[in-house]
Amino acid sequence: MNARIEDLLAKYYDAETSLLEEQELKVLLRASDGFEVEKMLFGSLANFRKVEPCKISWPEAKVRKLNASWMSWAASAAILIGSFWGWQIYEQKQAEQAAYEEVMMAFALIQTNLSKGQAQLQPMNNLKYLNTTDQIFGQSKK
Amino acid sequence: MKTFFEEHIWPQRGKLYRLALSWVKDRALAEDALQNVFEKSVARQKELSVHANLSGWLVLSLKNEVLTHFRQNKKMDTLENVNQFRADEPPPDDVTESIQKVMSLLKELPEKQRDIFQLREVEGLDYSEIAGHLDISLDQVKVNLHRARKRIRELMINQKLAK
Repeated sequence: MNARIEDLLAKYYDAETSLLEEQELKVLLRASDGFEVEKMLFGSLANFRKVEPCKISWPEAKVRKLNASWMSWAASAAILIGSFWGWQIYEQKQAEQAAYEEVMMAFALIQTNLSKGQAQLQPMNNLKYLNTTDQIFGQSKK
Repeated sequence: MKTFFEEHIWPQRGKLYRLALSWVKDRALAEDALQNVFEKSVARQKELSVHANLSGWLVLSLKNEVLTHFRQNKKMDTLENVNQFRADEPPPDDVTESIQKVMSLLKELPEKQRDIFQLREVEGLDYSEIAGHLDISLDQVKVNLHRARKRIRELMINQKLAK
C-alpha cells in the first residue's frame, strides 16, 4: 500500500494525478501510518471546504414600481380613448350602411323604370315583319 | 421554473465565497463582495445565459469587486497588492485552527498559484474547469499547480520542523 501511496504522491506533486487518483490517495492515506504532512494538509483543506457564507441573501431582480395614482389615470384615459374610438367606428359603419341602402334603392328604381320602357318598346319588335316604312306609318302609295 | 441565476449561479456561492475569503481574509468583506456580484448577475441574467464562460465571468467580477473595495479605501490596484497588504493581518478569529492554517499557507503563494491550488484542492475542479474559471491555458494550470503543491509541501515541512 505504501508503494502505491508513494507513487501517487509523486504524481500528485508533479500535478499529473487525476481527480480519481487524488481521491484514491486520500483514502489510502487515511488507512496508513506516517505521511503526517499530507494527512494534515488534506485534513485542513477538507475543513476549509466546509466554510460557507452565512449572510448571502437571495438577490431580487429590480422591478420598476409604478406610481399607483398615475396607473389609475392612465387606465381611465385608455378607457375614454378606447370608447371614443369604438363609437367613431360604429358611426362610420352606420353611415356606410345607410349610403349602401340608398344606392340600392336608386338601382331598384332605375330597374323598375327600365322595365317599363322596355315594355313600351315591344311593338318595335314587329318592324321586322313590315316591308316598308309606309306600312309602318299606315300611308298609302300615291 | 427555475431562473438562470437559481440554476447556474446561486449553486456556486460556496466556491466563490471561499475564493474571496482567501483573497481578503475577512468574512464580512468576502460576503459583501459576493453579494454585489450576485446583484449584478441577477440584473444581467439574459446576457449571462449565453456567456461562453460563466464561471470565468463570476471569478473576474468577484476580483473586480474586491479590487474596487480596496482601491476606494487603500488604493490597491492588483490582487497581489491586496494579498501583500493583508499578509500581516491574522486570519479571522471565527474560523477553526485548521482553516487558519490553510489560509496562512495560501497567503504564501503568488495569486495565480493560490487560485489554482484552491480551485483544485478545495473545490475539486478538474484541470480544464480551472482553466475556464481563470481564463488561462491547461499548461499554465498544470505548471502553476505543480509549483503550488511543491511550495505548500515545503512550507508544511518547515512548519513541522519548527515545532
